[in-house]
Amino acid sequence: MCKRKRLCAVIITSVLIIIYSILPVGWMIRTSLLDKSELLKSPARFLIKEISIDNYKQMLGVGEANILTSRNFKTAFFNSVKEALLSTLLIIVIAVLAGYVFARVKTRITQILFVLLLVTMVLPAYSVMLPLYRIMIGLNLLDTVTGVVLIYVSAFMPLAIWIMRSFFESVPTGIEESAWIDGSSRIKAMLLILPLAMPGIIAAAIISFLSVWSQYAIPLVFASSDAQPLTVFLTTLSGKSSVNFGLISAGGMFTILPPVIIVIFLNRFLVSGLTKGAVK
Amino acid sequence: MAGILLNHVGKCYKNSREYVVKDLNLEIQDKEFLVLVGPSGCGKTTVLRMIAGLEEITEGEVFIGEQKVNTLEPKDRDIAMVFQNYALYPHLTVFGNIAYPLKQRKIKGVKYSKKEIKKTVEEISILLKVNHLLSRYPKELSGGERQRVALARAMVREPKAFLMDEPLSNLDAQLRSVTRSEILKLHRQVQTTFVYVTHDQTEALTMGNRIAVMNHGVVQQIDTPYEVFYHPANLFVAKFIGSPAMNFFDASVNKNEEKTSIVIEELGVCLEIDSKTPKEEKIIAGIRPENIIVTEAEKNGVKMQVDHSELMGTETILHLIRNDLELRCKVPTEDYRGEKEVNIQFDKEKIHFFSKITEQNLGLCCSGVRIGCLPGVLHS
Amino acid sequence: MLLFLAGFVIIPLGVSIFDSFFQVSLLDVDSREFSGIQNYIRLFSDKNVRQAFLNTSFYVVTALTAESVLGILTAVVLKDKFRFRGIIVAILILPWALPPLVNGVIWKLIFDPSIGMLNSVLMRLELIEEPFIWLNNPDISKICVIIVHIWKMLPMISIIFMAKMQTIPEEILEAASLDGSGKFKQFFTMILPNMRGIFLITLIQGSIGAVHLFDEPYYMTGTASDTRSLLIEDYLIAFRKYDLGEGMALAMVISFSLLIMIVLLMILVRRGTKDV
Repeated sequence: MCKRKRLCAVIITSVLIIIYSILPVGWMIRTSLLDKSELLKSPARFLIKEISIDNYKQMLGVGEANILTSRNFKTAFFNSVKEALLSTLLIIVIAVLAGYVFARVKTRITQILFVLLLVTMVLPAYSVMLPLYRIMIGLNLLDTVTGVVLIYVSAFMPLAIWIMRSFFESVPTGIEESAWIDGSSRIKAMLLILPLAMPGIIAAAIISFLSVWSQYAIPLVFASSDAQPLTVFLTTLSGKSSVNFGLISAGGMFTILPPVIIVIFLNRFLVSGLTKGAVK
Repeated sequence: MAGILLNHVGKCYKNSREYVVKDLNLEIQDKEFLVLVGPSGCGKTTVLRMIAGLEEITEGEVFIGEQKVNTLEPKDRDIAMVFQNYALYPHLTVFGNIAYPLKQRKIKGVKYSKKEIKKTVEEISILLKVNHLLSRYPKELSGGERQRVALARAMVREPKAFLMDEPLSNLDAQLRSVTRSEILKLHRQVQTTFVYVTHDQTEALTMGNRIAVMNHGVVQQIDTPYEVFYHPANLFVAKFIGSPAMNFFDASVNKNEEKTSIVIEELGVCLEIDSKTPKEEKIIAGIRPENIIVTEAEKNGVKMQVDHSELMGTETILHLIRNDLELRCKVPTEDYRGEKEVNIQFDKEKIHFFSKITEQNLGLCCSGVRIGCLPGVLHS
Repeated sequence: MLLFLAGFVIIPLGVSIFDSFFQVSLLDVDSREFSGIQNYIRLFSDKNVRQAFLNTSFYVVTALTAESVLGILTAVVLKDKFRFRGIIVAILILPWALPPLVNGVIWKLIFDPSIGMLNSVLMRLELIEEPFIWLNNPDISKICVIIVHIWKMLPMISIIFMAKMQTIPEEILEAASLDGSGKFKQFFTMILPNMRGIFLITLIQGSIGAVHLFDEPYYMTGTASDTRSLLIEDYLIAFRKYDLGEGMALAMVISFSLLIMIVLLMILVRRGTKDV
């Protein structure tokens, strides 16, 4: 009897969750597949009869399209990719090393350093945004991919280090200790246990990647034209007078592409990265 | 206070067709201390949990007292359970743990006031010697202390029956024997039904009014410890109960016009039977190590080599071999001088015979043991 | 050597913090004047700032409440295994993984008066006659904005709660059940008390997220003062008015109030769950 009630709750919640996540995104998909005339119909219909990939063509510069739009799009897309990948790469390299150190070397100094690291994570990044602006101008890094990558790395590194540290802590020292006895250096031993920490590395990488890919406010300030990522690009699509939602939706679709791929295929790591840090 | 009855109870899990418990019939008397014993996976914990209401009953009926409880929620069954890992509430103090059942709802129609709760908890905690720990948290307690708190929490409600799931398995050996007698003392004091699950047959033998031996979800035998030990109903019970375990030999039935004898070829021993003749030709004979007598070298006995010995205090277990046959016997430590060869005799009253097919005890009586009865098989 | 690498990392961070402290609004960047606490005073008298402060407060309170309540409810349903749970959790996490700006785009499409989903559905169901302009209305627009934010945060919070609930040993709930408490009681006496720590962490993370609200309102309503969050206000002060001094002052105020809020939360949670 109790089982039936539970089954009901589960089914209802599952359906709600599916609607919750998919409906809004679905609406954007639908909007992206409309051509200009269909778009302006009001009230809007959900099920559309004719699908048009005009908007996508515009983005990719296929057919008779606005060259400027597609060129900007392509630049923005590659900017996003570059920024996210570079940042993630750097973050992971540093986080793995630092995480290992923090997990294995427990001295006064490292404890203090780690706490400091955590504090910077809690502090909002925006309190340093303005001084950072001056630094960036000074270093001539404003509106460059390098510049924002540096910002992202220092912003998201603490979280990655935290994740790596807790993953390393969960690996028993036995393996490294036998490696040391067998004569290998500390670094070699660390490389040995790297495969064991792989889930943690992937989780940290995914979270870093998503964080960078999702950035808007920072690139708005620091990478507003040459190095602009997709998110900033999307806002440029809204003209002063008319807003072409179809085009924007298509742009949105491209922007959510990597996150969606990650959610579909690397879901396990996402969830574990989320919960590992929190539950500890 | 109530007895518990299980009628044709069966349980299988959703995913598999296999029955974890099959057609189980068990009648537990009111106020008795019943031990459910068996190897891991035999279903004893499942039975306990079905009585508690933590597992669904696939088939059959369970009665607590007069009431059929198949569909009754655990909280309404008025029984208490002590889990193997104690399951103390980590976020409550010892006081909070013991008081929790009293706070839940009207127990038997009586709502406890704060004062009454405090008084009851203190009384029980004094009884179980945990009154000095009332303000501590479970994680600060030792294993034995946690156990006592778990017991206190179970007792505080004065339930119809106590269920215990291997409560001693997490304690060290010495604490175990102390706690064992404490639990028995408790049983005498509260005069309530106890159902106790364990995989340790020694515990079972020392603790129960009756023990029920289980294997593969079926009760093999339920009787007093004495009966189970001296008259095992089948091969499994004989093998499981008693430490060190019973020795088993393949034997064949030799039918003669006058007498029937059972021949253990490997030892060259003939056993005369004076009760009914078994139908089968091949059976299994068993004898406990305690009932194998080591005799002087020259006397009439089966010669065995000593493989190794184990000192168990006043008794020593000898592991004997002869060709491929191994057996164990017990000797008083003082009598054993480290001989490499011994001769053994068998106590004819204590030999058991089991069917090779049904594994049931054939109930035969042995009237005489003849060593070296096989031509060509000398006793040297 | 590894220590050196770790140190390398701390330095840029440290520099940022250091820098900001030294420039604590005592300098007006453009003219390098020592303006003292003038910036702060200007802040408090600026009605835009006050409005933004009210907006953000609304966001924080609403977000925290909704996320906590809905998060726990969802987690309770999800915590026990069921067949398709993996897939459901995967679907659930989608809103959280997307860039918040895109969330703004998605929901703007829904709230759009003429071609948005909401109005279309409502009109079809004949609940409203004319299209309602959601994002222009001073009160409703705030609700719309925070809904988008909650939409994003809820999955993460539910999953974290769910994970923590799963660490509560099943035996404890069984024991509670035998001791006489039904599912409902168990929830309040067993599950919630064990969630104290996680609850605090999620409240803190939630408030950080809510205070930093930027992308969604910026895209959905632009710089409309009804929905302007503190951070948007800060951005406008610094990069439109080019008043870096005041901007930094505001940034300091934001960080500081966040810190205070966090401390308050810690005290509140400690006290609220003291006696169970």
